[in-house]
Amino acid sequence: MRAGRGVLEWFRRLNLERIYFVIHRLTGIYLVLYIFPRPYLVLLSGSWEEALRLDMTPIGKMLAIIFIFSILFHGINGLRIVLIELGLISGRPLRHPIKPIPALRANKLHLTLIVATIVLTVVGMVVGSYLVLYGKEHLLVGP
Amino acid sequence: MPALTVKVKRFDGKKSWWQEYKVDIKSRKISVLDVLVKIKEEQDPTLAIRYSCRMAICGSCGMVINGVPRLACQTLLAEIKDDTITVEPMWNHRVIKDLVVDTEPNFEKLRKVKPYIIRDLKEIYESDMEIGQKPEELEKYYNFAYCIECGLCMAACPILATNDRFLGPMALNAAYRWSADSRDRGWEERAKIIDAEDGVWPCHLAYTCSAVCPRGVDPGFSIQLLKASLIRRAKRVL
Repeated sequence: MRAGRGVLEWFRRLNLERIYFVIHRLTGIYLVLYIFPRPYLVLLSGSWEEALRLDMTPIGKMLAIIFIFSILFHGINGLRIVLIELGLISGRPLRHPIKPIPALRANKLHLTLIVATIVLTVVGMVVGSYLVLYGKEHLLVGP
Repeated sequence: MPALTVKVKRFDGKKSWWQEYKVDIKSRKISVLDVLVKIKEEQDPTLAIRYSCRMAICGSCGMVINGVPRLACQTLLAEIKDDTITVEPMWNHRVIKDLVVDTEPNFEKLRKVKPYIIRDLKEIYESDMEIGQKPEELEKYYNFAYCIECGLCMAACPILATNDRFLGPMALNAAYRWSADSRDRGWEERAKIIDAEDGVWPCHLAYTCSAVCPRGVDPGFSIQLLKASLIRRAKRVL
């Protein structure tokens, strides 16, 4: 018997970075599922305009709002991960006498990016959701 | 003192179940390991646990306590406010019996990254040269050398939960520790092993390994340092 819950292990809320990790994974999967079938949707619908009409349905709008959240979170959080992997966000672990502090948690730029990820995602999602729901009234010009 | 309720996830080789024990304690200034030993001595000698030093040095008593991978000897009841404690075997490991898991795969992975100083033997044995190290060179790997190989980071890793072949934080931390040692000449050799599909790249920075490490080793960070070195094709680790 193997201890643990397989893929459900992703969802354990053990630390903040782990929560970001699971949201990053889920949004990545959603982006693939949302973007990849779109060319096939156009082929099945017969035309691009016809496929876009599906996006204007309530379900289409809901999926588009989730798409906005996914692309914002995945993009901004991805940038944080890339900066760390390139060694541009660095530091050293602190050996506090009682509780050691991991290097990235002691790095102010990293903590700023952690906060910025969620703030920018929420702001972007509010603006994006407004445009998806009411953008037609404000943005569409012409006959 | 009120009785403590301890729920232990047990396994007898065939089936798994939760067993509840009531333990009378005189004080909360004892460790979870002390409680488990008390259960074994006074109530249930069939309960299997693994421990040795009782002072967070040997790394034998790793288990999941109240949903967090921890060393049983280092976890005091005083830290756990609840009167109920749940104890289960380390995740991502094959359970042998009750709380005893098979840690051999961890050590197989550790051996793969050659956790020792690699250097020309002639240089060591035939030369009179003393191989010194400056304090700033020691500082580069000092923190990462604290690893006691308890495997808690491997239990906490979400990547290992779905990819058995991933080398994991314990082995990768060792790869960094030895490569960052100024006396070592094995970086090129180790780089070939870790710059692979199941090397450093599956790590997506959940950072739980560093959060649960009982020694503050920060394996999650050493993996990122290895990635940065590989990306820059550095001749030594950064």
